[in-house]
Amino acid sequence: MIYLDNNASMVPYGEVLEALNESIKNSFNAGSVHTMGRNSRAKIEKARLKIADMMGCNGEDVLFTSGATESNNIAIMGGDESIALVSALEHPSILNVHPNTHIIPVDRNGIVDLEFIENFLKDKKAGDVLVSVMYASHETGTVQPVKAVAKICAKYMQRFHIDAVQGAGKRKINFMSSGANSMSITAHKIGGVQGIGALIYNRALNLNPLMRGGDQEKQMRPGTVNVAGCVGFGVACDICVKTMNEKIEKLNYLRDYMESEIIARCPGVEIVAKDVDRLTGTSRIIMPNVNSEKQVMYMDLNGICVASGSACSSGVVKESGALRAMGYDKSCIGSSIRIGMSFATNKDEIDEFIKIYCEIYDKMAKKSL
Amino acid sequence: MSIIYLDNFASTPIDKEVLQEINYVMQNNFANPHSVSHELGWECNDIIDNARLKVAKLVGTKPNNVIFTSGATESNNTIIKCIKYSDNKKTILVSEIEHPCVLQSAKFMKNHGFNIKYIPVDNVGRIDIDKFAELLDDTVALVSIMLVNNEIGTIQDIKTISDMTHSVNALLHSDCAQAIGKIDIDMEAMGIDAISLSGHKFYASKGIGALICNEKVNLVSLIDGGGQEKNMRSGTLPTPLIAGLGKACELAEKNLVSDILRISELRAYMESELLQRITNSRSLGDMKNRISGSINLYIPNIYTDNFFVNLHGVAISSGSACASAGKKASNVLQAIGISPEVEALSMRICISNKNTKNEIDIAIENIVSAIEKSK
Repeated sequence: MIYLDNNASMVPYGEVLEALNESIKNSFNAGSVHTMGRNSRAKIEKARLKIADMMGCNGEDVLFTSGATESNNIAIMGGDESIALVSALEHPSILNVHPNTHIIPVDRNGIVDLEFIENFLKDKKAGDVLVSVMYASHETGTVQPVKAVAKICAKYMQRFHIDAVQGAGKRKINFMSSGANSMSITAHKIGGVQGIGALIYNRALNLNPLMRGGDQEKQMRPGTVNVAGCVGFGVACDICVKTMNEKIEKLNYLRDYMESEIIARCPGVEIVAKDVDRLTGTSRIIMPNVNSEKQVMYMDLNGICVASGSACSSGVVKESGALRAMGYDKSCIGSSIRIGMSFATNKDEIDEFIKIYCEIYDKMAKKSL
Repeated sequence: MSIIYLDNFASTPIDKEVLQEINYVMQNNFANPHSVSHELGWECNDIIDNARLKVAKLVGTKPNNVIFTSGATESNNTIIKCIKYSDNKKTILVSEIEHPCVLQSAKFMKNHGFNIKYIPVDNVGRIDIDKFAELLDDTVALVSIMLVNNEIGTIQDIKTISDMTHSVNALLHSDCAQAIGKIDIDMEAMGIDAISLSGHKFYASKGIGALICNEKVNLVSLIDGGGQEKNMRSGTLPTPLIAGLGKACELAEKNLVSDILRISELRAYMESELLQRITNSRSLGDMKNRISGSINLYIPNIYTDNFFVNLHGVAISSGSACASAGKKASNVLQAIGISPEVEALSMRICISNKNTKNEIDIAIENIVSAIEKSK
């Protein structure tokens, strides 16, 4: 199998699996006062520091959660704002949470309209709007000008949240200098395992917890802490930090190679957001008039995993909201696929992907062009 | 020296077979189970469906009723905060001996205009049925009573409670975190409308649990997003942890009877030794209705801190682990009439199916010796 759906869930690092295995065997209730409880607590704190290291924040800014969906829910509902202003490309765990949500339009490349944000915030009461813009799109890889957004939010004194799920571990992120008030991350998108994530924020922000119960995580997130999950997450962060530069170089090379091959061999095919800053390893490719379901099925039959939409709608294939927001028409939206590479992706796999992609093109697209 | 772990109310060690399952799935099924465009995603989805079947089977319900969560705390928060309450039914009854996450969620609802009433228990921790009857009226929407208590192991007469609850058209929720895998649970036969459970209390991993509701329960979601779990719980499902939970349910189904027999024997032995050798000690809880591994030993005139300083090689706790770091007096012990003012030690022990006779022997010696030193 050639796995190119790493934006949905990334291949885990071998070191993470080893650490998890070891840790699950010896993980106790970190709230217990005996030695074993204390050891578990120490492991959690060690992991917390590794996450802080990757995110450029203090250990105490790291709140462990069950994943980015929970982190995003806390970030959005934890404050008292009566309005949420979020970009059109956001993940459903940002889009579908606040009862009074307004949408920031994006251009053809998926970049948020800064002027719109400024105009929207201009006449709003300070502290009444929560603004949320993702670091990079899971659907197109478009990297957002989050620093500029942060500046506007600061100017009008509104809280700013970044869903950093797709940027973390792939780009150098510095929470402290980002200007954001909070960031969400999750382990399974950076080479860790599902079931653990974090919300990065300064505790001075005084967010309300989503759940009530024991005193874990300084009362912000009750529930017995998933010790092994934290440990695995920490190891994944560690590797991401250490290997970031070589990974960026490799994935940029592989993606540029793949895209230029495909463009050269398949006239009419379009790469979404090609000319703006994109996440390494992410491509969304439109093969006009060839249904994306047909494409992914053909890929699957040839042992290649890619995605058509994003993978969170419980078995229902929905058309990409991102592409619609970027102004693509229905025929383009319904004929695009998403490639997500990882540290584990190699050139042979990309060559095989190109070969199969061209086969599909020759069989299904040529005649309709 | 390895430490003998007898703090299984707080968390259980993972079962070898569960660990194998998790390891296998972590390595081979890392895809997103909600990816519909390739085989690796479908496989993950199949693994989750299979686990869902096992969970449902263990508690006597349909797989459709199982919502996977991050653990019992989330499940308990969800059921209390997210039922679609009607305007004329805004009373919630919870027992005095519930876990903090139930009590705190109830308190949260109180701040949102709900009427919260606390059901007292008798001196062994069983619901006071007469007082419960007095509290029940047509305004009651939800009753939440844990099936097994996490400090004294008392098992409730849940069938009587469910009949009474349903007589006023209220829903019965039961926090089964300590009951699952320890006693036989049949939601339908017991008349429980919703149960919460956590993997790490019965030999699966931390970070996974479930809220299981029958058709009568009308919920909204606590966590929104991609619409997973039929819109009831968004977020990518952790396939490996769910596979592990399924495995633990399968093992519980298979081993329940033999586990109970073996653990009861170890408990009877340990408890009688401790009672005999520690002067003035007595057992708290319901001697007839408690889970097989549970011992809560009460010893007056011993300082808790002294005892734990003197205790070596054995992991046990005093009171609930959630409250012990902050040193709050246990709400459970107060509810059964133990004064928080009297200097005394309450030792919370829970034996698991992993403990051996040899371990119990060593633990007895170490505990007795720590008591001697703490006098």
